Amino acid sequence: MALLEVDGVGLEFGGIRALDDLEFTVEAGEICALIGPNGAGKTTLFNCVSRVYTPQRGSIRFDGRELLTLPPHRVARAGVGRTFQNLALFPALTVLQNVMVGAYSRGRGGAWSDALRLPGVARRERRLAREGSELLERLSLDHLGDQPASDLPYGTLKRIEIARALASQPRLLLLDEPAAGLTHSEVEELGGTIRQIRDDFELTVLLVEHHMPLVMSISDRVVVLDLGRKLAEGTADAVSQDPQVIAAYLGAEL
Amino acid sequence: MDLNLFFSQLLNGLSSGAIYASLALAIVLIFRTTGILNFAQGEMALFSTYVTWWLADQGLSIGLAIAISVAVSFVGGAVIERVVIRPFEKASPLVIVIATLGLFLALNSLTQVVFGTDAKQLGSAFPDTVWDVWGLRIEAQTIGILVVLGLECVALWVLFQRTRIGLALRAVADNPEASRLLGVRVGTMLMFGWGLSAALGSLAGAMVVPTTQALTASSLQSVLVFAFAAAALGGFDSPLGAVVAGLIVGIARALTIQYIEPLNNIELVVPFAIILVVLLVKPAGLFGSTQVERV
Repeated sequence: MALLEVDGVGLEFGGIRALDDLEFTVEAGEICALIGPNGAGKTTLFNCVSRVYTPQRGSIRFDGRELLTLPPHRVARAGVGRTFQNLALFPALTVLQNVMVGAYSRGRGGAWSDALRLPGVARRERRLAREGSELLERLSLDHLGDQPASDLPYGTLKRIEIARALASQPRLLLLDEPAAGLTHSEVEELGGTIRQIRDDFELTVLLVEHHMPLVMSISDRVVVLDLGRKLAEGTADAVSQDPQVIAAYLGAEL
Repeated sequence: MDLNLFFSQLLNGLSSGAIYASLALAIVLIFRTTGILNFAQGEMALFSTYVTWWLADQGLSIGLAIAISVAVSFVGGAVIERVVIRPFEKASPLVIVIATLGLFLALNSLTQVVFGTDAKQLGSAFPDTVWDVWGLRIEAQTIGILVVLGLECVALWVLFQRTRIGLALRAVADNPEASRLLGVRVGTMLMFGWGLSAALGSLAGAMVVPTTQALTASSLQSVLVFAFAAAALGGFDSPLGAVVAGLIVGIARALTIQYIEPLNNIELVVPFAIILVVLLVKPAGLFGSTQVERV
Protein backbone atom coordinates (compact mmCIF):
# COMPACT_ATOMS: atom_id res chain seq x y z
CA MET A 1 0.00 0.00 0.00
CA ALA A 2 1.19 3.49 -0.79
CA LEU A 3 2.32 5.61 2.16
CA LEU A 4 0.54 8.73 0.96
CA GLU A 5 -2.62 8.55 -1.12
CA VAL A 6 -4.02 11.73 -2.57
CA ASP A 7 -7.44 10.77 -3.80
CA GLY A 8 -9.71 13.05 -5.82
CA VAL A 9 -8.69 16.18 -3.96
CA GLY A 10 -10.44 19.38 -5.04
CA LEU A 11 -10.00 22.83 -3.52
CA GLU A 12 -11.40 26.15 -4.67
CA PHE A 13 -10.60 29.63 -3.43
CA GLY A 14 -13.57 31.70 -4.47
CA GLY A 15 -13.80 31.01 -8.18
CA ILE A 16 -10.23 29.81 -8.51
CA ARG A 17 -9.85 26.09 -8.84
CA ALA A 18 -6.55 25.49 -7.09
CA LEU A 19 -6.73 21.70 -7.03
CA ASP A 20 -8.95 19.82 -9.42
CA ASP A 21 -9.65 16.17 -8.73
CA LEU A 22 -5.98 15.60 -8.01
CA GLU A 23 -4.91 12.03 -7.66
CA PHE A 24 -1.52 10.45 -7.04
CA THR A 25 0.30 8.25 -4.55
CA VAL A 26 3.71 8.20 -2.94
CA GLU A 27 5.24 4.82 -2.18
CA ALA A 28 7.10 4.18 1.07
CA GLY A 29 10.83 4.85 0.80
CA GLU A 30 10.79 6.77 -2.45
CA ILE A 31 11.79 10.30 -3.27
CA CYS A 32 8.92 11.77 -5.21
CA ALA A 33 9.10 15.21 -6.80
CA LEU A 34 6.08 17.38 -7.45
CA ILE A 35 6.77 19.77 -10.30
CA GLY A 36 4.77 22.13 -12.42
CA PRO A 37 4.57 25.75 -13.51
CA ASN A 38 3.90 28.47 -10.96
CA GLY A 39 0.35 28.31 -9.68
CA ALA A 40 -0.01 24.64 -10.53
CA GLY A 41 -1.10 23.87 -6.97
CA LYS A 42 2.04 22.27 -5.58
CA THR A 43 2.32 24.23 -2.36
CA THR A 44 -1.47 24.23 -2.07
CA LEU A 45 -1.35 20.45 -1.97
CA PHE A 46 1.37 20.57 0.71
CA ASN A 47 -0.85 22.87 2.71
CA CYS A 48 -3.71 20.40 2.39
CA VAL A 49 -1.53 17.55 3.62
CA SER A 50 -0.33 19.54 6.61
CA ARG A 51 -3.91 20.75 7.24
CA VAL A 52 -3.43 24.45 6.65
CA TYR A 53 -6.17 24.17 4.04
CA THR A 54 -9.10 21.81 4.00
CA PRO A 55 -10.03 20.68 0.50
CA GLN A 56 -13.72 20.69 -0.35
CA ARG A 57 -13.53 17.26 -1.95
CA GLY A 58 -11.48 14.14 -1.79
CA SER A 59 -9.35 12.33 0.70
CA ILE A 60 -5.68 12.34 1.73
CA ARG A 61 -4.62 9.16 3.46
CA PHE A 62 -1.32 8.61 5.22
CA ASP A 63 -0.49 4.98 5.86
CA GLY A 64 -4.16 4.20 5.33
CA ARG A 65 -5.33 6.81 7.82
CA GLU A 66 -7.40 9.83 6.79
CA LEU A 67 -5.44 13.02 7.42
CA LEU A 68 -8.22 15.46 6.61
CA THR A 69 -10.06 14.78 9.85
CA LEU A 70 -7.00 15.54 12.00
CA PRO A 71 -6.41 18.98 13.56
CA PRO A 72 -3.20 20.63 12.24
CA HIS A 73 -1.17 20.00 15.37
CA ARG A 74 -1.82 16.25 15.08
CA VAL A 75 -0.36 15.91 11.60
CA ALA A 76 3.23 16.15 12.85
CA ARG A 77 2.53 13.48 15.44
CA ALA A 78 0.98 11.26 12.79
CA GLY A 79 4.39 11.23 11.11
CA VAL A 80 4.39 13.99 8.52
CA GLY A 81 7.15 16.59 8.79
CA ARG A 82 7.60 19.57 6.50
CA THR A 83 9.74 22.55 5.59
CA PHE A 84 8.46 25.79 4.13
CA GLN A 85 8.94 27.65 0.89
CA ASN A 86 9.59 30.85 2.76
CA LEU A 87 11.56 29.83 5.80
CA ALA A 88 9.46 29.55 8.94
CA LEU A 89 12.13 29.28 11.60
CA PHE A 90 11.87 30.96 15.00
CA PRO A 91 14.40 33.81 14.80
CA ALA A 92 14.23 34.53 18.52
CA LEU A 93 15.31 31.00 19.41
CA THR A 94 18.73 29.42 19.01
CA VAL A 95 19.42 26.88 16.28
CA LEU A 96 19.28 24.03 18.79
CA GLN A 97 16.04 25.33 20.32
CA ASN A 98 14.48 25.53 16.88
CA VAL A 99 15.25 21.86 16.38
CA MET A 100 13.92 21.05 19.85
CA VAL A 101 10.56 22.66 19.02
CA GLY A 102 10.48 20.25 16.10
CA ALA A 103 10.57 17.38 18.56
CA TYR A 104 7.65 18.84 20.47
CA SER A 105 4.98 16.76 18.77
CA ARG A 106 6.57 13.56 20.02
CA GLY A 107 5.90 14.40 23.65
CA ARG A 108 3.36 12.17 25.29
CA GLY A 109 0.30 13.65 26.89
CA GLY A 110 -0.88 17.20 26.49
CA ALA A 111 0.73 20.47 27.39
CA TRP A 112 -1.22 20.63 30.64
CA SER A 113 0.03 17.34 32.02
CA ASP A 114 3.47 18.33 30.82
CA ALA A 115 3.27 21.53 32.86
CA LEU A 116 2.27 19.61 35.96
CA ARG A 117 4.80 16.77 35.75
CA LEU A 118 7.64 18.90 36.97
CA PRO A 119 10.10 16.31 38.30
CA GLY A 120 10.75 14.66 34.94
CA VAL A 121 11.04 17.95 33.11
CA ALA A 122 14.77 18.44 33.50
CA ARG A 123 15.56 14.90 32.41
CA ARG A 124 13.28 15.12 29.37
CA GLU A 125 14.76 18.47 28.55
CA ARG A 126 18.29 17.08 28.53
CA ARG A 127 17.24 14.18 26.34
CA LEU A 128 15.60 16.53 23.83
CA ALA A 129 18.68 18.73 23.77
CA ARG A 130 20.91 15.69 23.20
CA GLU A 131 18.75 14.42 20.36
CA GLY A 132 18.69 17.91 18.87
CA SER A 133 22.47 18.11 19.00
CA GLU A 134 22.76 14.74 17.28
CA LEU A 135 20.53 15.92 14.46
CA LEU A 136 22.57 19.09 14.07
CA GLU A 137 25.67 16.96 13.83
CA ARG A 138 24.11 14.81 11.12
CA LEU A 139 23.45 17.93 9.08
CA SER A 140 26.86 19.47 9.84
CA LEU A 141 25.29 22.24 11.87
CA ASP A 142 26.60 21.28 15.30
CA HIS A 143 28.92 24.29 15.55
CA LEU A 144 25.88 26.62 15.29
CA GLY A 145 23.73 25.16 18.08
CA ASP A 146 23.86 28.13 20.41
CA GLN A 147 23.56 30.84 17.78
CA PRO A 148 20.26 32.63 17.24
CA ALA A 149 18.54 31.31 14.14
CA SER A 150 18.58 34.68 12.47
CA ASP A 151 21.29 36.31 10.38
CA LEU A 152 22.71 32.98 9.29
CA PRO A 153 23.31 32.31 5.59
CA TYR A 154 20.21 31.26 3.69
CA GLY A 155 21.54 27.83 2.81
CA THR A 156 22.28 27.19 6.48
CA LEU A 157 18.78 28.24 7.50
CA LYS A 158 17.35 25.76 5.03
CA ARG A 159 19.41 22.96 6.57
CA ILE A 160 18.19 24.01 10.02
CA GLU A 161 14.63 23.72 8.79
CA ILE A 162 15.32 20.21 7.55
CA ALA A 163 16.86 19.32 10.92
CA ARG A 164 13.80 20.72 12.67
CA ALA A 165 11.47 18.69 10.49
CA LEU A 166 13.51 15.55 11.19
CA ALA A 167 13.29 16.13 14.93
CA SER A 168 9.66 15.02 14.91
CA GLN A 169 10.90 11.65 13.53
CA PRO A 170 8.58 11.80 10.53
CA ARG A 171 7.99 8.92 8.14
CA LEU A 172 7.05 11.31 5.37
CA LEU A 173 9.04 14.49 4.85
CA LEU A 174 7.54 17.27 2.74
CA LEU A 175 10.16 19.66 1.37
CA ASP A 176 8.79 22.84 -0.17
CA GLU A 177 11.35 24.19 -2.67
CA PRO A 178 14.42 23.20 -0.69
CA ALA A 179 16.77 24.42 -3.43
CA ALA A 180 15.24 27.87 -3.91
CA GLY A 181 17.77 30.59 -3.18
CA LEU A 182 20.71 28.22 -2.85
CA THR A 183 23.97 28.56 -4.73
CA HIS A 184 25.00 25.98 -7.32
CA SER A 185 27.31 24.09 -4.99
CA GLU A 186 24.77 24.21 -2.15
CA VAL A 187 22.17 22.61 -4.43
CA GLU A 188 24.52 19.73 -5.21
CA GLU A 189 25.17 19.27 -1.52
CA LEU A 190 21.43 19.40 -0.83
CA GLY A 191 20.78 16.56 -3.27
CA GLY A 192 23.26 14.42 -1.37
CA THR A 193 21.73 15.42 1.96
CA ILE A 194 18.21 14.51 0.90
CA ARG A 195 19.32 11.07 -0.29
CA GLN A 196 21.36 10.60 2.85
CA ILE A 197 18.55 11.40 5.25
CA ARG A 198 16.12 9.27 3.24
CA ASP A 199 18.46 6.29 3.71
CA ASP A 200 19.52 7.04 7.29
CA PHE A 201 16.09 7.79 8.67
CA GLU A 202 14.15 5.41 6.39
CA LEU A 203 12.09 8.30 5.15
CA THR A 204 9.76 8.89 2.30
CA VAL A 205 10.32 12.27 0.71
CA LEU A 206 7.85 14.35 -1.26
CA LEU A 207 9.36 17.54 -2.58
CA VAL A 208 8.14 20.51 -4.53
CA GLU A 209 10.99 21.82 -6.63
CA HIS A 210 11.68 24.08 -9.58
CA HIS A 211 15.35 23.24 -9.84
CA MET A 212 15.23 20.63 -12.61
CA PRO A 213 18.78 19.27 -12.32
CA LEU A 214 18.10 18.51 -8.66
CA VAL A 215 14.74 16.90 -9.47
CA MET A 216 16.34 14.82 -12.21
CA SER A 217 19.21 13.66 -10.03
CA ILE A 218 17.40 12.55 -6.88
CA SER A 219 13.79 11.67 -7.73
CA ASP A 220 12.63 8.10 -8.06
CA ARG A 221 9.42 9.42 -9.52
CA VAL A 222 8.06 12.75 -10.71
CA VAL A 223 4.47 13.94 -10.62
CA VAL A 224 3.71 16.92 -12.87
CA LEU A 225 0.89 19.27 -11.94
CA ASP A 226 -0.72 21.91 -14.08
CA LEU A 227 -3.72 24.04 -13.14
CA GLY A 228 -4.42 21.83 -10.13
CA ARG A 229 -4.52 18.60 -12.13
CA LYS A 230 -2.04 15.80 -12.59
CA LEU A 231 -0.57 16.19 -16.04
CA ALA A 232 1.92 13.35 -16.07
CA GLU A 233 3.69 10.92 -13.80
CA GLY A 234 6.72 8.69 -14.14
CA THR A 235 10.48 8.61 -13.94
CA ALA A 236 12.31 11.90 -14.33
CA ASP A 237 13.47 10.93 -17.82
CA ALA A 238 10.08 9.84 -19.06
CA VAL A 239 8.36 12.93 -17.74
CA SER A 240 10.88 15.31 -19.24
CA GLN A 241 10.22 13.81 -22.70
CA ASP A 242 6.45 14.09 -22.35
CA PRO A 243 5.12 16.58 -24.92
CA GLN A 244 2.28 17.67 -22.61
CA VAL A 245 4.76 18.53 -19.88
CA ILE A 246 6.93 20.48 -22.30
CA ALA A 247 3.88 22.34 -23.50
CA ALA A 248 2.79 23.24 -19.98
CA TYR A 249 6.22 24.58 -19.15
CA LEU A 250 6.88 26.38 -22.40
CA GLY A 251 3.30 27.32 -23.16
CA ALA A 252 3.59 25.84 -26.66
CA GLU A 253 0.56 24.78 -28.65
CA LEU A 254 0.31 21.04 -29.09
CA MET B 1 20.25 66.87 51.75
CA ASP B 2 19.00 64.35 54.26
CA LEU B 3 20.52 61.08 53.06
CA ASN B 4 18.32 59.02 55.34
CA LEU B 5 15.21 60.53 53.88
CA PHE B 6 16.55 59.99 50.39
CA PHE B 7 17.25 56.31 51.00
CA SER B 8 13.93 55.69 52.65
CA GLN B 9 12.19 57.22 49.64
CA LEU B 10 14.38 55.06 47.42
CA LEU B 11 13.14 51.99 49.32
CA ASN B 12 9.54 53.16 49.00
CA GLY B 13 10.09 53.58 45.30
CA LEU B 14 11.63 50.12 45.01
CA SER B 15 8.74 48.44 46.74
CA SER B 16 6.03 50.15 44.69
CA GLY B 17 8.25 49.71 41.64
CA ALA B 18 8.42 45.97 42.30
CA ILE B 19 4.64 45.85 42.18
CA TYR B 20 4.51 47.79 38.92
CA ALA B 21 7.13 45.40 37.63
CA SER B 22 4.99 42.36 38.57
CA LEU B 23 2.01 43.68 36.68
CA ALA B 24 4.22 44.88 33.82
CA LEU B 25 5.60 41.32 33.60
CA ALA B 26 2.03 40.07 33.26
CA ILE B 27 1.40 42.56 30.43
CA VAL B 28 4.66 41.64 28.69
CA LEU B 29 3.92 37.94 29.03
CA ILE B 30 0.64 38.29 27.14
CA PHE B 31 2.15 40.65 24.60
CA ARG B 32 5.01 38.26 23.91
CA THR B 33 2.84 35.21 23.41
CA THR B 34 -0.10 36.83 21.64
CA GLY B 35 0.88 40.31 20.47
CA ILE B 36 -2.07 41.70 22.43
CA LEU B 37 -1.86 44.63 24.84
CA ASN B 38 -4.19 43.52 27.57
CA PHE B 39 -5.85 46.60 29.02
CA ALA B 40 -7.86 44.40 31.36
CA GLN B 41 -4.74 43.19 33.16
CA GLY B 42 -5.34 45.48 36.12
CA GLU B 43 -8.99 44.52 36.50
CA MET B 44 -8.13 40.83 36.22
CA ALA B 45 -5.74 41.44 39.11
CA LEU B 46 -8.48 43.38 40.90
CA PHE B 47 -10.88 40.46 40.73
CA SER B 48 -8.12 38.11 41.90
CA THR B 49 -7.37 40.39 44.82
CA TYR B 50 -11.02 40.37 45.85
CA VAL B 51 -10.90 36.56 45.71
CA THR B 52 -7.86 36.70 48.00
CA TRP B 53 -9.74 39.04 50.33
CA TRP B 54 -12.81 36.80 50.35
CA LEU B 55 -10.74 33.71 51.16
CA ALA B 56 -8.95 35.55 53.94
CA ASP B 57 -12.31 36.81 55.19
CA GLN B 58 -13.48 33.20 55.45
CA GLY B 59 -10.72 32.68 57.99
CA LEU B 60 -7.93 31.32 55.81
CA SER B 61 -4.43 32.52 56.54
CA ILE B 62 -3.38 35.25 54.17
CA GLY B 63 -0.59 33.13 52.64
CA LEU B 64 -2.98 30.29 51.86
CA ALA B 65 -5.56 32.75 50.53
CA ILE B 66 -2.98 34.18 48.12
CA ALA B 67 -1.89 30.71 47.00
CA ILE B 68 -5.46 29.62 46.25
CA SER B 69 -6.22 32.93 44.54
CA VAL B 70 -3.15 32.53 42.32
CA ALA B 71 -4.35 29.09 41.27
CA VAL B 72 -7.92 30.32 40.69
CA SER B 73 -6.57 33.26 38.68
CA PHE B 74 -4.50 30.94 36.52
CA VAL B 75 -7.62 29.01 35.59
CA GLY B 76 -9.62 32.23 35.19
CA GLY B 77 -7.00 33.72 32.88
CA ALA B 78 -6.97 30.60 30.73
CA VAL B 79 -10.77 30.65 30.54
CA ILE B 80 -10.77 34.34 29.56
CA GLU B 81 -8.37 33.58 26.70
CA ARG B 82 -10.54 30.75 25.48
CA VAL B 83 -13.92 32.45 25.85
CA VAL B 84 -13.29 36.17 25.35
CA ILE B 85 -10.13 36.49 23.28
CA ARG B 86 -10.04 33.37 21.07
CA PRO B 87 -13.18 34.31 19.10
CA PHE B 88 -11.24 37.38 17.90
CA GLU B 89 -8.21 35.32 16.90
CA LYS B 90 -8.34 36.47 13.30
CA ALA B 91 -9.68 39.96 13.97
CA SER B 92 -7.60 43.12 13.64
CA PRO B 93 -5.53 44.22 16.65
CA LEU B 94 -7.87 47.18 17.10
CA VAL B 95 -10.83 44.85 17.62
CA ILE B 96 -8.90 42.89 20.21
CA VAL B 97 -7.90 46.07 22.04
CA ILE B 98 -11.58 47.02 22.23
CA ALA B 99 -12.35 43.52 23.51
CA THR B 100 -9.82 43.91 26.32
CA LEU B 101 -11.30 47.33 27.14
CA GLY B 102 -14.70 45.68 27.32
CA LEU B 103 -13.22 43.06 29.57
CA PHE B 104 -11.82 45.87 31.74
CA LEU B 105 -15.29 47.35 32.28
CA ALA B 106 -16.97 43.98 32.66
CA LEU B 107 -14.53 42.72 35.27
CA ASN B 108 -14.68 45.97 37.20
CA SER B 109 -18.47 45.83 37.34
CA LEU B 110 -18.49 42.11 38.06
CA THR B 111 -16.18 42.70 41.00
CA GLN B 112 -18.58 45.29 42.43
CA VAL B 113 -21.60 43.08 41.86
CA VAL B 114 -20.02 40.04 43.45
CA PHE B 115 -18.14 41.62 46.32
CA GLY B 116 -20.04 44.86 46.93
CA THR B 117 -18.87 48.45 46.66
CA ASP B 118 -17.73 49.06 50.23
CA ALA B 119 -13.99 49.29 50.91
CA LYS B 120 -12.34 46.10 52.20
CA GLN B 121 -9.28 45.61 54.34
CA LEU B 122 -6.72 43.10 53.19
CA GLY B 123 -3.90 42.17 55.52
CA SER B 124 -0.32 41.85 54.38
CA ALA B 125 1.34 38.51 53.80
CA PHE B 126 4.45 39.86 55.47
CA PRO B 127 5.06 40.62 59.16
CA ASP B 128 5.01 44.30 60.12
CA THR B 129 8.55 44.07 61.44
CA VAL B 130 10.71 47.12 60.90
CA TRP B 131 14.48 46.87 60.97
CA ASP B 132 16.66 49.78 61.85
CA VAL B 133 19.85 49.79 59.79
CA TRP B 134 22.08 52.75 60.59
CA GLY B 135 19.04 54.88 61.26
CA LEU B 136 17.29 53.77 58.10
CA ARG B 137 13.88 52.15 58.62
CA ILE B 138 13.53 49.03 56.49
CA GLU B 139 10.14 47.36 56.54
CA ALA B 140 9.82 43.60 56.16
CA GLN B 141 6.99 44.42 53.76
CA THR B 142 9.41 46.17 51.38
CA ILE B 143 11.90 43.32 51.46
CA GLY B 144 9.08 40.78 51.06
CA ILE B 145 7.73 42.49 47.95
CA LEU B 146 11.19 42.62 46.39
CA VAL B 147 11.78 38.95 47.22
CA VAL B 148 8.47 37.99 45.59
CA LEU B 149 9.45 39.90 42.45
CA GLY B 150 12.83 38.14 42.47
CA LEU B 151 11.17 34.74 42.80
CA GLU B 152 8.77 35.55 39.96
CA CYS B 153 11.70 36.43 37.74
CA VAL B 154 13.58 33.23 38.54
CA ALA B 155 10.47 31.10 38.04
CA LEU B 156 9.71 32.71 34.69
CA TRP B 157 13.30 32.39 33.57
CA VAL B 158 13.37 28.68 34.41
CA LEU B 159 10.00 28.16 32.73
CA PHE B 160 10.96 29.90 29.50
CA GLN B 161 14.59 28.85 29.22
CA ARG B 162 14.62 25.41 30.74
CA THR B 163 11.35 23.64 30.02
CA ARG B 164 9.73 22.16 26.98
CA ILE B 165 6.50 24.06 27.54
CA GLY B 166 8.48 27.31 27.83
CA LEU B 167 10.17 26.54 24.54
CA ALA B 168 6.78 25.93 22.96
CA LEU B 169 5.48 29.23 24.39
CA ARG B 170 8.40 31.08 22.84
CA ALA B 171 7.92 29.29 19.54
CA VAL B 172 4.24 30.27 19.51
CA ALA B 173 5.17 33.88 20.25
CA ASP B 174 7.64 33.83 17.38
CA ASN B 175 5.59 32.08 14.72
CA PRO B 176 2.23 30.55 15.67
CA GLU B 177 1.54 29.05 12.24
CA ALA B 178 4.85 27.21 12.03
CA SER B 179 4.44 26.06 15.64
CA ARG B 180 1.04 24.60 14.86
CA LEU B 181 2.45 22.66 11.93
CA LEU B 182 5.24 21.34 14.11
CA GLY B 183 2.67 19.86 16.43
CA VAL B 184 2.41 22.54 19.11
CA ARG B 185 -1.13 23.12 20.37
CA VAL B 186 -1.14 26.85 19.88
CA GLY B 187 -4.49 27.41 21.60
CA THR B 188 -3.40 25.57 24.72
CA MET B 189 -0.20 27.59 24.82
CA LEU B 190 -2.14 30.85 24.59
CA MET B 191 -4.42 29.73 27.42
CA PHE B 192 -1.34 28.85 29.43
CA GLY B 193 0.18 32.28 28.76
CA TRP B 194 -2.98 34.09 29.84
CA GLY B 195 -3.29 31.90 32.91
CA LEU B 196 0.27 32.63 33.91
CA SER B 197 -0.26 36.30 33.37
CA ALA B 198 -3.43 36.34 35.49
CA ALA B 199 -1.58 34.48 38.25
CA LEU B 200 1.15 37.14 38.23
CA GLY B 201 -1.52 39.83 38.42
CA SER B 202 -3.08 38.11 41.39
CA LEU B 203 0.24 38.23 43.22
CA ALA B 204 0.72 41.89 42.31
CA GLY B 205 -2.74 42.73 43.67
CA ALA B 206 -2.12 40.92 46.94
CA MET B 207 1.15 42.85 47.31
CA VAL B 208 -0.18 46.30 46.49
CA VAL B 209 -3.43 46.48 48.42
CA PRO B 210 -1.94 46.18 51.93
CA THR B 211 0.31 49.18 51.10
CA THR B 212 -2.72 51.33 50.29
CA GLN B 213 -5.66 52.47 52.39
CA ALA B 214 -8.18 49.83 51.39
CA LEU B 215 -9.34 47.54 48.64
CA THR B 216 -11.87 49.21 46.35
CA ALA B 217 -12.91 48.73 42.76
CA SER B 218 -10.41 51.36 41.66
CA SER B 219 -7.48 50.01 43.68
CA LEU B 220 -5.54 48.71 40.72
CA GLN B 221 -6.21 51.36 38.14
CA SER B 222 -3.27 53.62 38.97
CA VAL B 223 -1.09 50.51 39.32
CA LEU B 224 -2.13 49.48 35.82
CA VAL B 225 -1.19 52.90 34.46
CA PHE B 226 2.26 52.69 36.03
CA ALA B 227 2.67 49.08 34.92
CA PHE B 228 1.82 50.03 31.34
CA ALA B 229 4.29 52.88 31.60
CA ALA B 230 6.92 50.42 32.80
CA ALA B 231 6.15 47.98 30.00
CA ALA B 232 6.44 50.77 27.43
CA LEU B 233 9.65 52.04 28.95
CA GLY B 234 11.25 48.59 29.15
CA GLY B 235 9.97 47.43 25.79
CA PHE B 236 6.72 45.52 25.47
CA ASP B 237 8.49 42.32 24.49
CA SER B 238 11.13 42.29 27.20
CA PRO B 239 10.53 40.73 30.65
CA LEU B 240 13.87 42.11 31.85
CA GLY B 241 12.80 45.52 30.59
CA ALA B 242 9.52 45.26 32.51
CA VAL B 243 11.34 44.61 35.77
CA VAL B 244 14.01 47.28 35.38
CA ALA B 245 11.56 49.87 34.08
CA GLY B 246 9.02 49.01 36.81
CA LEU B 247 11.64 49.81 39.43
CA ILE B 248 12.67 52.99 37.59
CA VAL B 249 9.08 54.20 37.43
CA GLY B 250 8.53 53.39 41.11
CA ILE B 251 11.65 55.22 42.21
CA ALA B 252 10.97 58.23 39.97
CA ARG B 253 7.49 58.49 41.42
CA ALA B 254 8.62 58.25 45.04
CA LEU B 255 11.38 60.82 44.61
CA THR B 256 9.03 63.20 42.81
CA ILE B 257 6.55 63.08 45.64
CA GLN B 258 9.31 63.80 48.13
CA TYR B 259 11.35 66.42 46.36
CA ILE B 260 9.31 68.24 43.78
CA GLU B 261 6.61 69.96 45.75
CA PRO B 262 4.78 71.70 42.89
CA LEU B 263 4.17 68.29 41.32
CA ASN B 264 2.63 66.75 44.44
CA ASN B 265 -0.56 64.89 43.54
CA ILE B 266 0.36 65.11 39.90
CA GLU B 267 3.52 63.07 40.38
CA LEU B 268 2.35 60.92 37.48
CA VAL B 269 3.98 63.55 35.30
CA VAL B 270 7.57 62.68 36.10
CA PRO B 271 7.68 58.99 35.21
CA PHE B 272 5.84 59.85 32.03
CA ALA B 273 8.29 62.60 31.17
CA ILE B 274 11.10 60.06 31.55
CA ILE B 275 9.24 57.62 29.35
CA LEU B 276 8.61 60.26 26.72
CA VAL B 277 12.29 61.08 26.53
CA VAL B 278 13.40 57.44 26.45
CA LEU B 279 10.91 56.52 23.77
CA LEU B 280 11.96 59.48 21.66
CA VAL B 281 15.52 58.17 21.74
CA LYS B 282 14.75 54.44 21.76
CA PRO B 283 11.27 53.82 20.35
CA ALA B 284 11.36 50.09 21.13
CA GLY B 285 11.97 50.82 24.83
CA LEU B 286 15.11 50.26 26.88
CA PHE B 287 15.28 46.51 26.30
CA GLY B 288 12.80 45.96 23.50
CA SER B 289 13.86 44.38 20.26
CA THR B 290 13.64 46.54 17.19
CA GLN B 291 11.49 45.16 14.43
CA VAL B 292 13.38 44.99 11.19
CA GLU B 293 11.18 44.62 8.18
CA ARG B 294 12.37 43.71 4.76
CA VAL B 295 10.92 45.93 2.09
